[in-house]
Amino acid sequence: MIDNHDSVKLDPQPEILVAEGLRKSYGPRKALHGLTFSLKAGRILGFLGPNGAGKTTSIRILTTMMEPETGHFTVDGIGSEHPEQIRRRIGVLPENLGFPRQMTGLEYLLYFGQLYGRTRSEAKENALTLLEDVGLHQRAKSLIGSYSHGMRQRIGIARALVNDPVVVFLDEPTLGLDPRGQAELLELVQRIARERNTGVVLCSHLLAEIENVCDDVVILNVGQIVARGSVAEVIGRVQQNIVLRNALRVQVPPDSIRDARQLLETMPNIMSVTPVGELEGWLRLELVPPHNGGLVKAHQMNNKILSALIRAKIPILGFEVEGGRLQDVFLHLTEDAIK
Amino acid sequence: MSNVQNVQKVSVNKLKVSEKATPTWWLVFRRELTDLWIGGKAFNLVLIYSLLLGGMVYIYSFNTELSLIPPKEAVYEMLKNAMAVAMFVGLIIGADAFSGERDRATLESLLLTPANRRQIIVGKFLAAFSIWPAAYVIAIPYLYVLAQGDAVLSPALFWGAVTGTVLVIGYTGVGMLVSFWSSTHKVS
Repeated sequence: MIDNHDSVKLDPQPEILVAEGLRKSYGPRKALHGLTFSLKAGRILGFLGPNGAGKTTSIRILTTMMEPETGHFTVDGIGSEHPEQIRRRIGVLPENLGFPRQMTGLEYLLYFGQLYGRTRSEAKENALTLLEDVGLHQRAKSLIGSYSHGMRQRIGIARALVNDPVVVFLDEPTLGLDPRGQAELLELVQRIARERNTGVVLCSHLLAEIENVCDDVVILNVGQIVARGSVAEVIGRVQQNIVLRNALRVQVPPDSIRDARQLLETMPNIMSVTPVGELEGWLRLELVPPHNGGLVKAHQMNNKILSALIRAKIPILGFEVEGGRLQDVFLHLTEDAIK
Repeated sequence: MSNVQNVQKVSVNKLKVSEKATPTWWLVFRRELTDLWIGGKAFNLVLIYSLLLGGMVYIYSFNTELSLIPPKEAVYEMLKNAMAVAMFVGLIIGADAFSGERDRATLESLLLTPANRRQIIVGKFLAAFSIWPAAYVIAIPYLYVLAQGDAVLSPALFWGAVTGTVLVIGYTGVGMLVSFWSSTHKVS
C-alpha cells in the first residue's frame, strides 16, 4: 500500500518543499509578505536578499522554529501543522551555530543521531560515514574545541545530514571562511544535492559562488520575492533593463592595459574607459546610451569593441556585459533596500 | 515497477526510527551530566559548598558560644544551612539550563531535532538535580561530627533527605523556568 507521502516520491524530481503565501510581522513591521516558492529534490536553491529582507524569518518558519501568521508549507508532502514530522525530514545549519567544545566530532554526531531515533550502533556507523563524507574522519576523535572554523562548519553540515534529510537549510555556511574553505564547502554542498538527491536551500551573500553552485534562486527584498526561477531565467529576465545602462568589462593582460585603453578611448560611442583593477587587467567601458532598439545596438557595439581589440592584437582574457551576472541582478533588484 | 519499489524503499529507510532507540530524556540527561561534572562546573560548586560546610562546622565546634549549643540544635541548624546552599546551587544550575545554551548557540540545534520537548526538559532537570544527592552525601560526615553520637543523627538525615529533595526540586524548577523565559544567561 502506498500512502500519500510515498506517492510523492514516484516523480523523479518531486517538489519536496512547497511554501505558499507565508506572512509574518514583528509588531507593525511586516517581515514577510506572502512568500511562495518551491524546491525540487536534488536541486540547490539560492536564497538571497539584503540584510533585513526576511531571509532568516523565512528559514526559521520553514524549519518550524517559528509559526507563520498565515500561509502554509509542506516538506516531503508533510504539512506545516506537523512540525515534529517535518523536523524528522529536514537538516539545518543555522548561522553562527555553537558547538559543545568538550565533545569530539564523533560523539557530537553520535548524540544527534540518537536524538533522531537511531540506535547507538546505527548512529555510530552513520556518524563515521558522515565524517568521511565531510573530510573529518581523521579528526573524528578530536575535541570540537580544537577544530578550525572551517572544520566546525563541516561538522555542522554533517550534523544537518545525520537524519538523511530530504531538505537541508544552510544559513551562511561560508561565512568567515577563507577562499579555499569557501570553495571546498560549496563543492560539498553540491555533492550533497547530487549524490543524496537532497534539496538544498542555501542562504549566502557570496553571489558569484551562488551563481556557480545554485540551480534556482529566490531573491527577497523587504519581505517580498522580487525574482524567482532558475539562475539563468532570473538573470535573463532582469538583464535587459540593466544592459540599457550600457556598460561592459574587458580583461586584457596587465601589460596591454595602456594600449587597450588608448585604443578604446578613440572609438566612437564610448564615454569612458576606467580600470577596474590594474592587477587583474579589467577595464570598465561606459557606452553612449542607444536611442532605439538599445539591446541590438549594444550588441553591435560589443562586437565592434572586440573586433578592434583583436585587430590591434591585444589578447582578450575576459569579457562581461554588465548586468549579465547574478550580482548585477541582485544589486538592481534590491537597489531600494541598499539605498 | 522495480524502480518504483526501489524509490519507495529508500523513502521508508530514510524515515525509519529504531524501536530500540534510547529515550530522549536519558540522552539529554547523560550529556548534561557529563557537561556538569566532567566539564567542571558542578565539581567547582560542590567544592565551594564543601568548604562552606567545613567552615560552618569549624565555627560550631570551636567558637566558645556556639559550641555550647546542644548537638540536636547544631545538627538541624547545619542541615538547614546545607539545604540552603544546595538549593542555591540547584537554582544556579537550573538557571543555566536553557539560557546558557541559548548564549552558547547550542540550544537551536537541539530544538531542531524531533526530540520531545518534555523529555528534553526532564533530562536537563534531572542533570541539574544531580547536585543534591552529592551535596547530601558530602553533608553526612559534617553532621556526624556535630551530632557527637547523639540519636538525633538518623531522624535528621531522614528528614533532611525528604525536605531537601522537595526544596531542591522546587528551586531547580524555578531556576529552569526563569532560564526558559530569559533571553540570555545574564538575565537568568
